[in-house]
Amino acid sequence: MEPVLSRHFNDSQYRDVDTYMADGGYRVLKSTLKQRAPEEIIQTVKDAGLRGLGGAGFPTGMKWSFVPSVEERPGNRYLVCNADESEPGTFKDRALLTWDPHLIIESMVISGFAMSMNIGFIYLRGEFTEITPIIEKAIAQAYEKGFLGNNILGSKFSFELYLHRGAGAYICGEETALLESLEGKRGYPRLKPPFPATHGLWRSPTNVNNVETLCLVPFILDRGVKWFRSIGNDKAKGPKLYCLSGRVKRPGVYELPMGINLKELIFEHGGGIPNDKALKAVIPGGSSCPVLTAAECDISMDFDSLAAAGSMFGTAAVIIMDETVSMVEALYVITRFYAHESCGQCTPCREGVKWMQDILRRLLKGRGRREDIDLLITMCDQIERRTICALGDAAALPVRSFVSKFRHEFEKGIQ
Amino acid sequence: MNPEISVKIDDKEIKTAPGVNLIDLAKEHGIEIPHYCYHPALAVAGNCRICFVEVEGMPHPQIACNTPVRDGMVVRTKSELAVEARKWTLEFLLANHPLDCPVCDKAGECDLQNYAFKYGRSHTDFVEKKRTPATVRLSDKLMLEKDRCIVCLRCVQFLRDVDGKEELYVHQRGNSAEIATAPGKDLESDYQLNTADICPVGALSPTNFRFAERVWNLEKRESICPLCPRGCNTKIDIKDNVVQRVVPRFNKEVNSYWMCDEGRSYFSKYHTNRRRIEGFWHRGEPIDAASFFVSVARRLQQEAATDILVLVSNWLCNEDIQAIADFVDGSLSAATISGPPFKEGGDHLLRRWDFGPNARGLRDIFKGRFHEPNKLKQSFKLALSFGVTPSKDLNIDELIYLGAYMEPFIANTLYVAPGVAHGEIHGSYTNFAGVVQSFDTFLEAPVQAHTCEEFIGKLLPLLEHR
Repeated sequence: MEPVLSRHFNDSQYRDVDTYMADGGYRVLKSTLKQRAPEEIIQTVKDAGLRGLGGAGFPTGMKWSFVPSVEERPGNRYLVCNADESEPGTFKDRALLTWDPHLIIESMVISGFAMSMNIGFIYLRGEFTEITPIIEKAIAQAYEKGFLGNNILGSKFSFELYLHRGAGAYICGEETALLESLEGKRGYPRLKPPFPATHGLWRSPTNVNNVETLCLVPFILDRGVKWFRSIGNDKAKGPKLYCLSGRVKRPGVYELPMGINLKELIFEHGGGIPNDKALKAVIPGGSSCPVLTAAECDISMDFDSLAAAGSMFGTAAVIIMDETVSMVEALYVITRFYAHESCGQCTPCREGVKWMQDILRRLLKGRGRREDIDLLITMCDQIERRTICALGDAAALPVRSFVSKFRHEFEKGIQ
Repeated sequence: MNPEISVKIDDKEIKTAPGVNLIDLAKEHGIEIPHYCYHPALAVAGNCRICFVEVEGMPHPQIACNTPVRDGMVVRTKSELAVEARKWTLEFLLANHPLDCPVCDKAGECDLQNYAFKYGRSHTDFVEKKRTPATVRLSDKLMLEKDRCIVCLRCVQFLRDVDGKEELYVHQRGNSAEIATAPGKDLESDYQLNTADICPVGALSPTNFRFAERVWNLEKRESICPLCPRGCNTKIDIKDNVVQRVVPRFNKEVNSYWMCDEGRSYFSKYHTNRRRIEGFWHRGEPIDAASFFVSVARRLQQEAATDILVLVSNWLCNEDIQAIADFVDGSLSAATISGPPFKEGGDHLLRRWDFGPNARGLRDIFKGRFHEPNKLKQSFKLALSFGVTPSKDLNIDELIYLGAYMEPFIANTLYVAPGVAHGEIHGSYTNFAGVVQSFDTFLEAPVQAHTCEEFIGKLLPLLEHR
């Protein structure tokens, strides 16, 4: 497949605005501001069937259309680019942020124009220290060239863009916690409704979109819905960045069509498992997604197919585990992460996830009790869907799937 | 909008307005839905997850505190789904809880204890090591037992949203989340003890009540705080005729759910440690009651009423003030009436700067006859004071004083009679906004103490005997 999102990867010259423009950059912005109406852009995104690539897979065009019109809600309106990529196994946005900052800016101005937003924020994961100057420089250059600021390129559209660095909390990738954090508050997810579209940043109309989702918008507008829908299989369309990590020969970010077969992804593109080991299990979409056994890996990588298989597409962060991996240890590491990252707001998540971590630690050390395994499953029942945000679910889903599918390994930890 | 919708909670059909909060509606109709973080005067936090109910059509339990009711909504508070979810919330809450009820001041009025018995499991599956964060001092007034805290955020919300002071916040994250002040800072709020009232568990405890009493040994009474003309409604806990604790009582018009810290310490600060006037006195010498009233009557009749100043305290109830007004009208109609000066204004929340409960009642009863003390320029041969310490600016030759507490000036006073204190009388106060609030006696007065009514009752026959 011809590289789209990844076309500038590993070439730092495209971080500069002139090189980016020489490669056709900001061309789509110019033509869009001149020739397109905001409603038309939203309709095009809807027609393309673009879905949010931050993990939830919500139809982007529909999400955009929830934002009330300027007539209904004048005043400041915010577009937030969620660059708080922190799901273990996920590093696709980091590549975009590192190699193609102007693509993100261009996408944000176009998307901001589509929803009549006047202010944009890039909420950057705190740990991405090396990316900060790249984005800062790109924003400064875009202002210099008139792609940001007042009356962009002589149109009547104005858009201010700010970079905001997070302080290192996974939960701030949850969109309402992100908004709280942007407001300068503790990153606690909000009760919903109301939703950000109507009551977001400072209670104003707001849209929060993932980096990769936004970056696809200029390509859809430029090359058309037909082009977008020509990529992929019958279930899902468009180009997609996949992250391969774990026990695989060539880990990294791969740009391939939506709906690629998971086995093909691992064995053809990733080069298979090192040292001729057998595949044991795969987490298909980042650490919160239920694990698949090797036998379940012959599957199309898209939202619907993986949901049907009882897992999730998530961020397409494929974590590969071979026969030597201890599933107890792997789950312990994952659960420790969620216990550490729970914001501490809701009782089941705050107390339950740490408790699960303690139990897993005992099982790992061979000090488990016979009742522990069923207790883990019961706790999953009582954490899932019992909390304000999805972090409780994210912590419980891997526990449930690991323990159910690899129960025999956990039973070995019983004293 | 449909003014009336129909909701079914546990087979009870309820007609109500749309959008009403389910937890409030259930409470109104006598259906208890347990809650920790929810408080009617605070924004919905939705974090404690104990108010789970089953709403028909929803696959998962819903938190009642964040559920606005819709027409046709069917809610089950006792279904298996709801009961099991609540049980597990309690299991999670108690997992790291020290279960130290026997040494916890909150025991007996603790929602964690109450709900654990009512809705909890009879056993636990938790065998891990408990988290044991330290107990910290938040200020001279407040201690925080972090191991008992359930991070419901009521205290944080109260200080931030009601008091307007962001002095408490959540420190750390997840299982380590704990309530804290800014490093090195004490709580400075004048309303911080309200956080201990609304703390649903034993985490926040006021230092003035810590380890003092077991709450079930206390006699519970209701009253009005006398500190300022706000007249916050209070609950008084008494043991052995000593007030052990004062907490606010809800009154929507007057004080909502709150009161200031100073008002709670009224009894310890202004009552308990002060020496009472015992017996009757004439220029520092004891005198028996019968001769006292005869002498006072004689002295009052010696002076022309125009030379007499009657001082009336703003600490008296309306009924006592009325008795004084009637007495002056009948026997000393030419006398001048005054009282303590009035201090205008108040703070951002409840506290009024005037000291004492009834400045408004005092002025309402005497109306135009009341002279503000700072405007009194003439001199008086005799003053009859009902509980007022005469200011140095007043020109008074001699003083007859009825009051509760020993004051330095009393040694040189012509006649002194023992009066009653707040708590020893019943009656009413008129608060600064004109709300008349009655209150009952909750302390026993010393044997010889006289209310103004009793004092006048004994004096009046002697005066008429002239």
